[in-house]
Amino acid sequence: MNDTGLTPFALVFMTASIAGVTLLVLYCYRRILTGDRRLDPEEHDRTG
Amino acid sequence: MTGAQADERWGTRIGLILAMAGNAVGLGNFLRFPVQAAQNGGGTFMIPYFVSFLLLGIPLMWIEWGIGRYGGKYGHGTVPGMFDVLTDGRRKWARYLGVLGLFMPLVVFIYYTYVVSWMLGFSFFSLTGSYFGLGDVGHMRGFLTSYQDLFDSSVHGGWVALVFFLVTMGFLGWVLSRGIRAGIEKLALIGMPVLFLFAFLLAGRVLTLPPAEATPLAGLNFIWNPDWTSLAEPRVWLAAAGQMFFTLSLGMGTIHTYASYLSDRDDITLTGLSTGATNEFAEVVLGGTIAIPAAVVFFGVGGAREIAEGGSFDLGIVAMGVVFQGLPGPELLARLTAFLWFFLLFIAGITSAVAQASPAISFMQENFRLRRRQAVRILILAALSIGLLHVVFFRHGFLDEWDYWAGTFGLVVFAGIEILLFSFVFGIDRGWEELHRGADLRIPAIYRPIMKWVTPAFLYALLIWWGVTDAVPALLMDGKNPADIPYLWLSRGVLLTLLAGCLLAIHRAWRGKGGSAT
Repeated sequence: MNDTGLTPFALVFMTASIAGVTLLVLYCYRRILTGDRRLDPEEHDRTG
Repeated sequence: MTGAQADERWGTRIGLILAMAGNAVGLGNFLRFPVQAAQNGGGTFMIPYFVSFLLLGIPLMWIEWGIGRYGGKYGHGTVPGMFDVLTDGRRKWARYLGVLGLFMPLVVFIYYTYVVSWMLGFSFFSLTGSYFGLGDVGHMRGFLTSYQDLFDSSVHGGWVALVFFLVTMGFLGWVLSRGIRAGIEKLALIGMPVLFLFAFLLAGRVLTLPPAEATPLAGLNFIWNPDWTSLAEPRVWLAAAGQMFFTLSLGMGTIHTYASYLSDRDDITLTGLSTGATNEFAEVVLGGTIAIPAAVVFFGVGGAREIAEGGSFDLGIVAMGVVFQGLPGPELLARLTAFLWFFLLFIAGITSAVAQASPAISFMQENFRLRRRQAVRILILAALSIGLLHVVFFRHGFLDEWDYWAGTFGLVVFAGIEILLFSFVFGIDRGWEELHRGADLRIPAIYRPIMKWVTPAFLYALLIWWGVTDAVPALLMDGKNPADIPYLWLSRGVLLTLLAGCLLAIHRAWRGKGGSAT
């Protein structure tokens, strides 16, 4: 353990995991927010 | 389409994503995840956790979105009808197997709402400072126990928990009766940003705590530092796979109902991945940075481990209650910080509870021609009446019994059934085509064999292992207090009655339709 309280492996693993999840979120929202797709405006008949 | 039915759709894509993410982000993200990680080897847990996310979580999530949207196209908002159309209406048993997608969210809704109401109660107690002054774990646990137990009036009167339960149910009824767009979607559009804001503020506060028994980074180390010996233990893999079900709300029937309000021209691949990613962010980045690191700072690594062994509520309510009282600075600020925590949990819970309520409402509307408000009224009154059993018999493990069979083991059983129907009965080729209808994201081709072979194999290995090591002893009530056993049988009896009621409702619904799938 170093003076930060984190072992080097824990630090690398935590950083990689958090970065991976954050990048996935950013990728998804960037595509959604910059895309021009909207939900289909046609009413969806759920009456069968 | 009439006015009421026209409202039964999502208004915006971001609203849909946040509502689905609200369904997924619940108490499990902030309470169950850190406890599971701490109990199962810290950083080592994260390896099977991410493997489970890739091989179990993501494929099952896409499949549930696909089944839901496909069923919605034929006018079905719940799993019995969806399973019926997946088998082209040719296999009667499919609709009856789909009872799990109606029964389980209903059961979970009833007891989960009671637990969520505790968070509202503790939000209130935080603002009023009711538990401030109970600076140790023992006294704080007494405060919680008295709240949970109707007959323990050492701190609270028995009516206190009941009042918060009624308020929570009333609020849920109000949101649900407003419909998909004006109720559920609006709750998500307001609630989810507030939840993330509170979570960031709390994570920031925890990471800047002055060292006491340990530093905040030692708390992160406790979660992220691997214990390699535990990687070879099946229980760690089981725990990680199990967490995936809780965290993504898989195997329940709620994703199906939400997705049924989409048109088949709407994307589900990118939208589904976005909700999964949002949930993982809330869990891995925020859920892992608040409760355990805070407990490590105040109780040390050994103390935090002991607390984590005690379960989610020992960590999230008892230990955190003590932590907030020990925060440096004025008491008012400490109370506000405590409020942020408990109200965050309340929001996380309430956005999941509206999803759990949705299949039953949709089923009543679809099959018994009820208007939404009528269906909501029936559901809320039934849930309140049955939920009272949890309030009265909580001390005897009544709620835990439901949580195990419907909220834990049942999820895996249901997922095991739906993946076989999707990949083998409906067929992976049709399924793959269905998922890509209107898609914004091409699913990597590797997921085709994963959905057909790897995910079912993973699921059934999990189901068999869990069944043998856990479900059989649970069924036989091994290790239960003999005094509680009659109450546990009562708990099971109510569960079975509800299951029979759901089966009967399906039978009557199809009799009314003349047996047709659509």
